[in-house]
Amino acid sequence: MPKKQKSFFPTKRPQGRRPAIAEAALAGILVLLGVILLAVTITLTALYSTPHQLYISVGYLSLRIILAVLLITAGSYFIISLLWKVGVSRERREALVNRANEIDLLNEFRRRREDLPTVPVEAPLQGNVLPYRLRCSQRNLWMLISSATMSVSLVVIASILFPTAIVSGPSANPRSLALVFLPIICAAALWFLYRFFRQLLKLTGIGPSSIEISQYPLFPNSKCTMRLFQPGRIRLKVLTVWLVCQEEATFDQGTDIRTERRDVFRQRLFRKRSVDVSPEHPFEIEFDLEIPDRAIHSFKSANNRIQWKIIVQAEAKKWPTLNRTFRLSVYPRTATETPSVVRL
Amino acid sequence: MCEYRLRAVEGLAVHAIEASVVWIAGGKGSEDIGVHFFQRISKDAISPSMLQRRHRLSTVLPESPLSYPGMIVQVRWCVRVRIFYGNDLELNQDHEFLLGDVQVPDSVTSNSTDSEMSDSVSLDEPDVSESTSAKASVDVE
Repeated sequence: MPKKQKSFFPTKRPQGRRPAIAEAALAGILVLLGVILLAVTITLTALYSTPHQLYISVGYLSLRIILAVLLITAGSYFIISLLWKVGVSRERREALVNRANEIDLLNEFRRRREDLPTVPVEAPLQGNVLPYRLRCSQRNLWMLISSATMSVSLVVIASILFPTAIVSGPSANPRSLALVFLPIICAAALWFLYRFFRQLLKLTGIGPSSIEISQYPLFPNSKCTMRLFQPGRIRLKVLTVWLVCQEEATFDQGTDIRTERRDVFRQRLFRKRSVDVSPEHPFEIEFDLEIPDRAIHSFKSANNRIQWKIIVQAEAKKWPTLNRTFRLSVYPRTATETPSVVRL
Repeated sequence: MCEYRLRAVEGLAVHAIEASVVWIAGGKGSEDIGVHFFQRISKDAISPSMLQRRHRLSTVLPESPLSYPGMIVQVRWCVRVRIFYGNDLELNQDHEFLLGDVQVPDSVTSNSTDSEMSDSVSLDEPDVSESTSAKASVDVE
């Protein structure tokens, strides 16, 4: 019998969307309350205190600051543990302890880079079932962090502006300025809070995908096996895996620098409807991958790029579609395998 | 292996000759260039008899990047010969060649872009660029 994990929540809870929303909302609210309390406390202390006397007693002030810090810490802990619990299986948590093999893999791929300087090295990680595990783009996580940072910053500013707007002092200028900016800051804070919770729910409801591969790097006309590991606590309407080759070109347009991307190859590797996933029963499947014959290898220069990638697309009812990208290294066939290399 | 010779030189003294094998990545994006092989013949080594004979350059081509006729990114290889004259005049000529047998994959999608498809670059015709009016030419074979 597997050992049950300790949890602050009741052990028997319904599966599905509601627990994810409740936990994420509670964690976010705790952080916000802590931030607001801290910002208001510091603002009021600055406005009402004199050099000789604080506006409240030292004990009460300390209590409020400690409470605010506890709320922020607790909320942050719940968010991190929620992301961790949903996204990482027990076996992988234990396997993460031993990272020595990953360093060996990285060194091996760094040596290959010296032979093929224009082929970008996307060094994989050690897999659990298959030999290699592809690295996932961190774009979704950075979006979460950036929206969290912006929303917390704006909430702090709004928490400072609010008492400033209502306090009556000798000069009305700070008050009038605060009254002007407060609605704008509050609107911006609400927008970023909405984006933060949306992204958090996306990541916790639809857990982080994991792709493992039997062979790496790949070559044109090479075949291998892929394994998809999809955790979460949601019913997915459609789960699709794509193989994509994308060209990327960067150019100057006036004073701007623009980047254009174009998919030149897209192949569906796997698709399944009505997929139920839970932390106890994540979805796992194996399927085949074949790089087309005479396909271009991965390429990178200062302004031009050719990139192969695996995209896992998860759609759920009333949830935003989530795309996760895993970069692939496709190497050129060796000169010995290519019969006619040069044609003048 | 590649050979080149100067067909005719009139009125101007050749100060230097450079021969290189380069790859050029471009298309929609800004051009990137990689030099695989480079050879320079300085003024001291240049003589009338030397200019008239064929010159050979030989190099082992790398495994990448391969020639690629993409939609917005193209990679092409060429032998480039550049002749430097006095008064900052120079003449250069490229002779393109194909490395590898890469094709754009069959399954092309109309996905994810907000721009029109660009014209493909012809790789068959050598790109001759003359930056001066000097009466000279370079044959690259």
